[in-house]
Amino acid sequence: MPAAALADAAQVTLSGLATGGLYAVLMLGVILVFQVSKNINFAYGQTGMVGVFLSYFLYAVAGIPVVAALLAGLALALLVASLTDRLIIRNIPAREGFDLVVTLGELLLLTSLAQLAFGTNAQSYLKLLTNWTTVRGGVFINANDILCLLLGIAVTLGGHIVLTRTSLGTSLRASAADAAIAKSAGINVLGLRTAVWTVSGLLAWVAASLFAARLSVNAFYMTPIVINVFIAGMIGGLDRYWPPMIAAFTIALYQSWAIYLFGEAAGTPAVFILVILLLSLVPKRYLEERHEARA
Amino acid sequence: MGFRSVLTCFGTGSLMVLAMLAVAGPAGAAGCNPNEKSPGVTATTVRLGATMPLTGSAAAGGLGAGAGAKAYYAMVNAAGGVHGHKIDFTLLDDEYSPAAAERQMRVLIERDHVFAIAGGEGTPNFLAVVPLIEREGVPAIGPYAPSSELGTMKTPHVFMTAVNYITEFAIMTRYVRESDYARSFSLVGVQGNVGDDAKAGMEQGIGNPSIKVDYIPEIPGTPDFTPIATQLRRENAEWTFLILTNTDTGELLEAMHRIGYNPRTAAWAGMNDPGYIKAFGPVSQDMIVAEETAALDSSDPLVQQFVTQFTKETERAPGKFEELGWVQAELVVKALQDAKALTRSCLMDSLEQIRDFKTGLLPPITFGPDRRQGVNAVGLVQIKGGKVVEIVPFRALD
Repeated sequence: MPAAALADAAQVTLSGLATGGLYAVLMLGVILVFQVSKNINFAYGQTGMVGVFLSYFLYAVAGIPVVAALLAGLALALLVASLTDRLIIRNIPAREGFDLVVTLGELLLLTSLAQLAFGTNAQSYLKLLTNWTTVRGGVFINANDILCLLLGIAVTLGGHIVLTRTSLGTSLRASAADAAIAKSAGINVLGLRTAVWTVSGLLAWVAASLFAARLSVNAFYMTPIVINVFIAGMIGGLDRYWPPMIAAFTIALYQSWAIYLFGEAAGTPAVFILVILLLSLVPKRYLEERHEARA
Repeated sequence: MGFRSVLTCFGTGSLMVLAMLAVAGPAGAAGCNPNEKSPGVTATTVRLGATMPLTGSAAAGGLGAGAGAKAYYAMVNAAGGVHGHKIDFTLLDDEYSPAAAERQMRVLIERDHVFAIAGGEGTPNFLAVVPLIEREGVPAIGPYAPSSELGTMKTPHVFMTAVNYITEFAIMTRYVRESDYARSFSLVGVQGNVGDDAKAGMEQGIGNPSIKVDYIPEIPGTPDFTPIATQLRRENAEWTFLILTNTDTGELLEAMHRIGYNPRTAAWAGMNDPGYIKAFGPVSQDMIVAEETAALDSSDPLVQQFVTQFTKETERAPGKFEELGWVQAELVVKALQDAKALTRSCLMDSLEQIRDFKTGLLPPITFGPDRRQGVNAVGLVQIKGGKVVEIVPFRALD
């Protein structure tokens, strides 16, 4: 294979893995919320988006120092995530599907509010190392790509260690398995649940910030990203840990190669073709959720 | 079935209608009938309507164009209206959605009984209402919906002032060929009619079948532009042309920059926008951009007059979308003023008589009995620093 083709292949692989790293960061939040509170939060990406948009507004428009603006954005994302649980999820009937409807409504609400507050134009965000590049063998290695990839790996491994080797992880697993028994054993189940939702807000904000640096900020930019994360979760199974986290990396890599080989229009169909193939060809025992392996 | 039987079946009246239709020929060639009954006109008002995106991702365009049109009609009404009729302008939100646009257009035509459709903003939403407009025979004047589907006698009731993307990209590509002797071109365009038109325009502008355009169709909303940027780098064209949303254009250029591919670039008129230049100016330096409406800081007295009048009416400075709405309204009022009577056929006739109408904001507008594309010219600007610099004034294809 000519050197230029190898360089292109490495370039596409690197960007796919970097995107996958950010998908993994988002995926950890989706898994934690699903396993601990049994909910899917469609407004998850928008939770990060409003935090990032607020940061942008504060440093770029209001002239507040960047660090303060970032902290304010982070605080908003944490607040939105925890309030989603405390004010919305806990107050709806515990019937299947209600969480989907109300968080879909929250997604639309946050999108509209962001448009009203910050406008409809896309805005260029902080560089976050996207402007630092080195060339190795014809491949442009961007520091932001490396950061996203390493962050994804660190979050994946860290999440596993916390869940399996710490007392916090034990409490989470106990709460997920049977909240009543966990409560009788002295675990603050509701407090843990709120903490999990808040951590999901943190993860959403981190991923949304890095995606904003790679793309731009507007009211919609997180929506297609979160759709891909949910698809990876569906393929891997949200009741497990490793399969969805690995699916987050692979789906991004797969989509990058599909776009590179077949054009951008092939990106979305390629993902759905993969889903259909997996669901129809892979034996059911590999796709069925392992309830004993909850967090 | 014999002729007598046909007469029996349809009745003499029906046959006469068929005969009249045959004699009349295609719609739009019937001429002015001052006695015709047209909706939307009272002794003191003439009712006009439009749909534009007022909410959603494309709201900036609709809100701006709507404000421009309203300001112009307010000025005309304050001066007494048109032939003693005040203009009653209804603007409805189509959300940039074809379904919503079709629903709102029905409201305008069937409930509000508008006399004509005055302006519009957005291609997919306007294309969705064209069948209804043609079926109901309502004149539609100057919508901003660049498309090769419009501007011909296939849609005789729609009078276009937005140059289509075939012409826009042909003019831009020809300039690049003449000024830079470029020999290799890439295009990234929104998949479908928009990208296809741009490609056809580039091929026309290149004028040499041996030079191919490497075309990459795009769908808005990708989470990573690096694969497209890598495809472009692989082809290594001297020039990359872009017809994407402003956000996607900026994000693709950022991705190209990150992987070290920095060709010369050219883009459709949407990048001639302060919001885009503010967000993505650093990666768009020297980009050539089509100019469909005149620069607001132009020294043309007509442009200066528009800025002054709009600012007086609204107490704020206009933007490009306000300029677009204003010039749409200006054309509508010109057609109403020149109409021999306030009937739809006379309005169509009036529009068909417009020749070389100079607004200063658009290239001169000319329609005719068989001509529905009123403008076939664009100017070219280049992004320099935080603003655009005109490099070619409005010019048409030879």
